[in-house]
Amino acid sequence: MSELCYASMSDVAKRLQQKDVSVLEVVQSCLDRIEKTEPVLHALLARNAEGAITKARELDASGPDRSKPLWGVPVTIKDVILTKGLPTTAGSKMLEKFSPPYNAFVTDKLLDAGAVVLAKANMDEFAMGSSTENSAYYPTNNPWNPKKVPGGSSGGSAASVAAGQCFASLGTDTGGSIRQPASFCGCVGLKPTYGRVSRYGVIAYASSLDQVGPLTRSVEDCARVLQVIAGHDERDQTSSPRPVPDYVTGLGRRKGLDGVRLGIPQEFLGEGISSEVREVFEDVRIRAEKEGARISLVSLPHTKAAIATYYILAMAEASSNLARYDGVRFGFRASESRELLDLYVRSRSEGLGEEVRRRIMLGAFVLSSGYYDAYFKRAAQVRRIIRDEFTRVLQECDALLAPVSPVAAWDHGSNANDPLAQYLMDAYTLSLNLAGLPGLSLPAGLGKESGMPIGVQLIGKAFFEEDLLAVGHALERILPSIGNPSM
Amino acid sequence: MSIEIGIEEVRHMAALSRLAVTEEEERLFAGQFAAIVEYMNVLQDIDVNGVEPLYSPVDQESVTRPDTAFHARTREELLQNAPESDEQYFTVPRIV
Repeated sequence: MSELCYASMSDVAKRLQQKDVSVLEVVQSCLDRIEKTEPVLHALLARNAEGAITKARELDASGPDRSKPLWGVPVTIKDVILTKGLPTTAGSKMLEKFSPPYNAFVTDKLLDAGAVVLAKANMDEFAMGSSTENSAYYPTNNPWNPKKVPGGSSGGSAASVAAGQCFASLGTDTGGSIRQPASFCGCVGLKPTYGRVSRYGVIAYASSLDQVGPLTRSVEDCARVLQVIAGHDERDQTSSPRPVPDYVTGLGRRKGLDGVRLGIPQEFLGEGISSEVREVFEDVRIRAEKEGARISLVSLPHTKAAIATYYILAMAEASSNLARYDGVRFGFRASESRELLDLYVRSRSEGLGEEVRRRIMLGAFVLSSGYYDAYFKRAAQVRRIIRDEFTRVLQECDALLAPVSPVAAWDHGSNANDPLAQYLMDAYTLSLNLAGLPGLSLPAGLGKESGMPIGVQLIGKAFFEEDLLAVGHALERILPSIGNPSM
Repeated sequence: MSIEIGIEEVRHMAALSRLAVTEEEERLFAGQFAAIVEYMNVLQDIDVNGVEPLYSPVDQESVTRPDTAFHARTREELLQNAPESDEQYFTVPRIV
């Protein structure tokens, strides 16, 4: 295994700036790692090896640029984020041949910062899923054990970071899709506050919940990537004009965990949690307490309603957003359709996968005449109750500490034909998307039974990523290192 | 609110969604949707009296900009992903 590709991103960025290592060497070491691991992992969709080598040569020729914080750093990007010149499929047959005419805001930000894009990362189709098994192309395997799923929907991003194929990846998180795969693959994942990162050029799933964020191998790397992608964009109406703090300097604002007030939502530790996740979480709690953290149990009484609330709203928004795939302006068109309605129906039915069709249909149902008030409107009302509960408990704490998933990575095929069982697995991640809050997942240990990585998440106040990352940085230092997968 | 989800409801949802479902899928989805909607009914027991719906976590203020035309993309760029076009327009089956 090349040591270079497992260096921290922060370290490699510094060495690149100092010309201690060339961009070509770094890019080549990642491409070699991809060649070696991809036959097992299947973490990537479109690859950009030639483009990356050309870019590396250009960067080496022009020399380091101190104004570019990711100068020469190889990255991958989830395939739901538009990349001009690299196919973008959202993991769907519907967009198999889609060639974006423009870059997403976050893609431009990475490129402006000097990053080198190696490949697009595999994902559940249109980000709908928790295992990356819903990709229309192939499932991704977990680098810690290929029999297991990498989580999802940003499973390709998490697997590529954990396997050393790249130094960072961008994912999206609508109900846990960054934090849960980060937990399953043993890396760090941040879902920023809704509005912190522009969604311009990100293929929409549920627009009031979707947010782009980094997956990395350390909290510091995570802060550096967030620094690059955060900021106002007038092309996204929900993008916040608040100034972006210096997240990297901010990592030093907490001198350890002494006096940090952490609230543990008691509803997150109830039935359904596996014993190995409970053990790892208990270990984290004890370690944090020993370091001086002031830990208290808090209550979010409507947690039990969050899954239903989330799925009603997400499915409703999905059914509306995915109406655009009609086989006319872009995407798949069924052959030999004789009239327009037939063209719509056949293109959508043949181009969209089963889980996507399921969510569109249920979304249409909760929005339909006779059911709108009972489901969609009521869910939006409960959403406010859930958000207000978070706001209340976060007044008494610096952050909440919680498990990311009730279980570690499961075997491929475990929840086939039982979509509800899979939805229930998102219990600990999706409520903060409803509230719009930031969440940081970090690796906390290996499960005693499964041997798989298990993460914990910190949940912060809206737009307080600076403190969330600082607390995460302090917590990271006292958690056991899980090392890298042996592949 | 109680609703029975069966084959008829699945057909209605498919029609609303502009999707076709096979007979096998109708049966599969009817069973799955019944379980999911039953689960969603947990919300019916929550007191939402007087609670304003929250549709977005940010305060949605309409942001306006001057209404001036600009060329964001060329015709070629916009047509490059079209499944069918005549180089000028998107084309669809004859509708009149």
